[in-house]
Amino acid sequence: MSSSRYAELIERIIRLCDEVIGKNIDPFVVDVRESLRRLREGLSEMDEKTLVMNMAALLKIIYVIALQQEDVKKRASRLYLDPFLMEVRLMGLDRERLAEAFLKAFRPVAENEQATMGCMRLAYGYWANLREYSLPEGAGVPEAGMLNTLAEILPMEEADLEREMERLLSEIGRGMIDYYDFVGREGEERKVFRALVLSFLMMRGLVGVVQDPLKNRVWIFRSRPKNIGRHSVALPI
Amino acid sequence: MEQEERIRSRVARAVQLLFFKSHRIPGVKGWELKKNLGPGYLSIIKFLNTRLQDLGLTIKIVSDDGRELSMSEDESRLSTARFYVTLRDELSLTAAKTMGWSIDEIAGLAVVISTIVSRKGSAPVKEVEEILRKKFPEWRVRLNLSKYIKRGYIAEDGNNLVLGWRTFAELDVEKFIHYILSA
Repeated sequence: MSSSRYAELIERIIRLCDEVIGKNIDPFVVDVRESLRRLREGLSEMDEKTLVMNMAALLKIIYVIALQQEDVKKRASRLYLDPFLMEVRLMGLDRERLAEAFLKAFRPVAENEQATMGCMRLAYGYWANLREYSLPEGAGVPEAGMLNTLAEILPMEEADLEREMERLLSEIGRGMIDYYDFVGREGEERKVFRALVLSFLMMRGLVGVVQDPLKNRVWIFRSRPKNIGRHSVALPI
Repeated sequence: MEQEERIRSRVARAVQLLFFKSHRIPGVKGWELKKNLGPGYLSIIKFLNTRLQDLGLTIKIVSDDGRELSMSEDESRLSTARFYVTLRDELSLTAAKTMGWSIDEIAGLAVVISTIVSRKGSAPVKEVEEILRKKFPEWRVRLNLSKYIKRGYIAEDGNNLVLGWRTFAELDVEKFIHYILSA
């Protein structure tokens, strides 16, 4: 074998070992016996550079052997599971049976929530970083009883509002839509109006809302009136 | 009489340490118990454990690497391990519901944990989401995963999901996998 072909072979072995080590893939894809045999083939006619490469390849193979040993141990233990078989198994179980299997091995921790220095510090940081909220100067709180009728809130006829509601409902279609995308779809000027019309749809139970407080996401979806939830939700615009 | 009173106050202190959260994570480390209860802290814990068992609770010791330890374990291992009070007996589905869990949440968590375990303790988030989507609607998948992460059942490790401290504290993983396979 020529020295260039031999160097190429060593590089290929090193690359394969690196893939196995770095990407956590099955270590048995490396045929250790065959790799060692091929490394041995060129041993007699090696220059210094190739010798160093050969050593590097040998070290990688040793690491792969260690990974193979660990893998064999895991497979021999009771906890070894084939991911594909596990997926098939999970798909074959209904929710009740999955929950029952979980609860059989589940022993929740008894704990009492209380204010700790850590959470007080976190709360203070949150409070200190809150943006100040105030109404623009001169815009006082409207007097009670001022905004009583629909005409005073929305400068439009009730029939027009019904049409708007139908239009928005047809825009929602099937599936979940991001609330903020939906109300802001026609620009800033129409944002509050769309949110208000949407709230009427929600009140009638024609649109449902789902919130993810952790990610601050809100989704809306079409629903039937019988699904009306009996609670009020405040959605900032 | 004086000694009895001393033991009583130590047991009371142990109860405070074990039940009341003083860190982000509940439970208390062995060295913290030793610092607060003295060198004989294990006898106090053993005594408390017998009393708790009558109430359907037990003290569980979990090492840093997630293994359950017994009270006869080596002192050095116990000092870095975390002591928790957990339920002693199995929880019924109805009881779990009264604790704020829904069947969907429990089933989802079962799927996530089994998937992670079957992938040698670390599974790509996308794969887990894909498997969950076969059983649950998309919005619930995201919601549930963030809930499990927030409560400590799983943790994010780059683009992968790994088991969190709470799974080791609350679940006998080996038994759970056995139940899943034999369900």
